[in-house]
Amino acid sequence: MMGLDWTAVGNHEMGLTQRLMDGLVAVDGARLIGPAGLQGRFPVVSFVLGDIHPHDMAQILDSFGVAVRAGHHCAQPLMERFDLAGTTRACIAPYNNTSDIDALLAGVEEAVRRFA
Amino acid sequence: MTDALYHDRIVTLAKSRAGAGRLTDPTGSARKDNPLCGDRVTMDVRVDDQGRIAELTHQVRGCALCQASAVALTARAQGQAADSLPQLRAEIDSVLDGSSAGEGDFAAFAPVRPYRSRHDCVTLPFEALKAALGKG
Repeated sequence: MMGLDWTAVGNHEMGLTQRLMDGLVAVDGARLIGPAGLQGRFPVVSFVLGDIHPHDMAQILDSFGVAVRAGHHCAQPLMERFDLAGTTRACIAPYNNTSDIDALLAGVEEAVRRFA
Repeated sequence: MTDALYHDRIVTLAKSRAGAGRLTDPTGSARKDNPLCGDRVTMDVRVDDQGRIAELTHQVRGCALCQASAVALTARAQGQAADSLPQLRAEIDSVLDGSSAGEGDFAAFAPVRPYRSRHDCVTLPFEALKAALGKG
């Protein structure tokens, strides 16, 4: 791990984060939680999509081979404050690639097709 | 597997929101939360002089399984004796553990069986109704 070029790793992760954010904002009803851009953001993207519950979203994404976290993330008071049942949260790591992002976005489309 | 879990009847039930709302004059009301997943169900019930569930409504902030379960339970419990809830609970438990097929829309929850972490999504409305009837 220490031999990795961490600047390159960071650029890789943030590039994927941008790809994911761009894909999500193009989906009707999708709402990103947190900064609209990359500034002030780690390679983590939380989102909600209309009335689709995060657990249903996560279950659909699982069938696309995409593992995300879903729910209130141990932050119930914050979720209450923003009147959210929870969020779906994707965390991007050095080993992820564009096909992972595209699989996630395909899963989101499937969730919309099924639930919206 | 997910196709089986979110089959057409489950999605139709969840989307219908049939029986959703609040009663103005309930004889009992209760809210139940699942602190692990954040699902929240409120049940209002009005029991008549004969001990029957005359009116029943639900308000759900939860996943599709929880929504569908609340709709199915509301439809089944309406008009039933208030003390019949344990039988309804036993029926849905038996669907989830695979020991019976269940009747009507309760049978729609059979595909949830392998997803242990989702069982509570289905049973939360039952817990809320039990509490609304003063037994929870």
